[in-house]
Amino acid sequence: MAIEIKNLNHIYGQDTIFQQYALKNVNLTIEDGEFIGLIGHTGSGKSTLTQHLNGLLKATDGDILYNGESIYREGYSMKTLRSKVGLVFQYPEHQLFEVDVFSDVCFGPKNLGLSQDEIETRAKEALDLVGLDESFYKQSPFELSGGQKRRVAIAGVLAMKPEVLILDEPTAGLDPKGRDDILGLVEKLHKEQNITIILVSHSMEDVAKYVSRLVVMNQGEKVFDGTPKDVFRHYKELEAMGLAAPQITYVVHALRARGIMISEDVTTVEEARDEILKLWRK
Amino acid sequence: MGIIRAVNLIFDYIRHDEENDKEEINHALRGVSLDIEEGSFVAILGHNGSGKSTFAKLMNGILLPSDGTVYIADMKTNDEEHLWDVRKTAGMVFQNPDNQIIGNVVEEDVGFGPENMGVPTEEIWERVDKSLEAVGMTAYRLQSPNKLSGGQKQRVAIAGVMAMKPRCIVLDEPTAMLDPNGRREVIKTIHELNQQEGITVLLITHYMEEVIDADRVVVMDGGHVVMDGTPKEVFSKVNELKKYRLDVPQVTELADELKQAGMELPDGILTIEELVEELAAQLS
Repeated sequence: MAIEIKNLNHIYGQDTIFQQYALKNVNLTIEDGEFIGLIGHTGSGKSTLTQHLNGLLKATDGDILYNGESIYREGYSMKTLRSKVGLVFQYPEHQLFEVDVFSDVCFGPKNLGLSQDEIETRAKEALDLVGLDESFYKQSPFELSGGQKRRVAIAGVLAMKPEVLILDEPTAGLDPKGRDDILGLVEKLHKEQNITIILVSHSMEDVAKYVSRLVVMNQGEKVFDGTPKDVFRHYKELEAMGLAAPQITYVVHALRARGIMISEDVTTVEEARDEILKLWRK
Repeated sequence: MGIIRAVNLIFDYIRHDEENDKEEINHALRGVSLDIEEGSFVAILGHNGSGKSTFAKLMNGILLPSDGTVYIADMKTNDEEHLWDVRKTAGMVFQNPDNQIIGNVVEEDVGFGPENMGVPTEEIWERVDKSLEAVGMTAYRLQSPNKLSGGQKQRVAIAGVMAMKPRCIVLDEPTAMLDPNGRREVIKTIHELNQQEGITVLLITHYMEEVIDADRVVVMDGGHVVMDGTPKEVFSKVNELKKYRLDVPQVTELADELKQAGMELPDGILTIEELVEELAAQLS
């Protein structure tokens, strides 16, 4: 039971004419070691929600429990929370600022007050996890490619040894190869380091392959919560929210409408291929 | 002869050290020739670092070629006396909508371009009206651009370029920072401008779904043009595209995998409908 969100509301401009619910009665429990996709179009509240999880935004009302303890309790250490729940923002490379890659990754652990040895060990481990070897250590972070910069930024968060890693649109602006690299890296972190992952995205196709659970937000409310195949069954409602299900979902439903009974559970290209070949060989 | 002609374009980014000696040379373009017909919709695909954005910036003289020539409506971009005319003929739209909007009010932003060209006031307003109408943003003309969504901002940026009455528009990854709704809006707008106003469109992107309706698709890799043809021709070569680190639409990939497993399907299936038709015929 890593994170429990209870009846969470966030209202912008409360008691003014601009009053607007950014989050409306959100309830969500995230278990240790889960890999969750948080989906919604721009303005759905998904980024607002993630910023509550490490205390950057405070809820108007409702509660968030981290390992059973309310983060809004008086005296609760936000500093500890933020070292446990790492948040990688959109375009994290905009936050790089140090003269070289290694110092940039050291910045977080340094602020935790660790010994120099420990700081350097953590920075090396983190850079190793994101696949940047020693030849990068002394390079300026500003002269790397977009995908490499992003990996440095993620390493900076990993060096804090978070238990939960939240990534807000980690693939925005990357080309297909860069996108696959980053998502592959996230998957590796989940599997090998057993970090709980919350992946914020507006692309169903990107996340369907990786996550075990999808949470869909719309207008500040949680509308769907389930496995990818459960959520994609609602493809018509998703479309009405400005989200599209993967193309494969449409192919499956169009075929079923024509009387070809391919399983509704198919969500990826590989699954579709196997199902269609099974029918074809019959 | 086309409205855009690139002849043997070479472009090198050169980094100098403190003594102003050449420290590092990055060959972004290594001999690109392209002839783009007036009124056509051409998409340029390539992964990051393939040279596609460099190519875009050479189209209206933001960058000048290290070697080779770009002709825009038969004017050389490196001819200083023609630079204004080149930029009037070929308008540019960039990736980040926030970097392109300068006005406090939508209509002022759109009028900025023609105002700088010395267009008479009355005509400026006519052009603003028409441009906003063309991108479907008339209802927002008196609003602050700050309150618009990314897709709406990008449409305002396109209207700003339209108001300069260019014959072609070069868009450098105009949807990279937008969500699916915004992406659809922008792509639809670009197609309308192409079809209704006859404006030549050069769309640079790495999203495959955006190029399936183009007249022509050019793939770049390592500073070269490596593929060039209709979307069908280009997308029928799934393995080659993957080699250039590009994706294909899911349906195209699925069709390709089914073919490799022995099913008989035509090459270059691009849409859900096409694939469903073919599969329905074979499976029922």
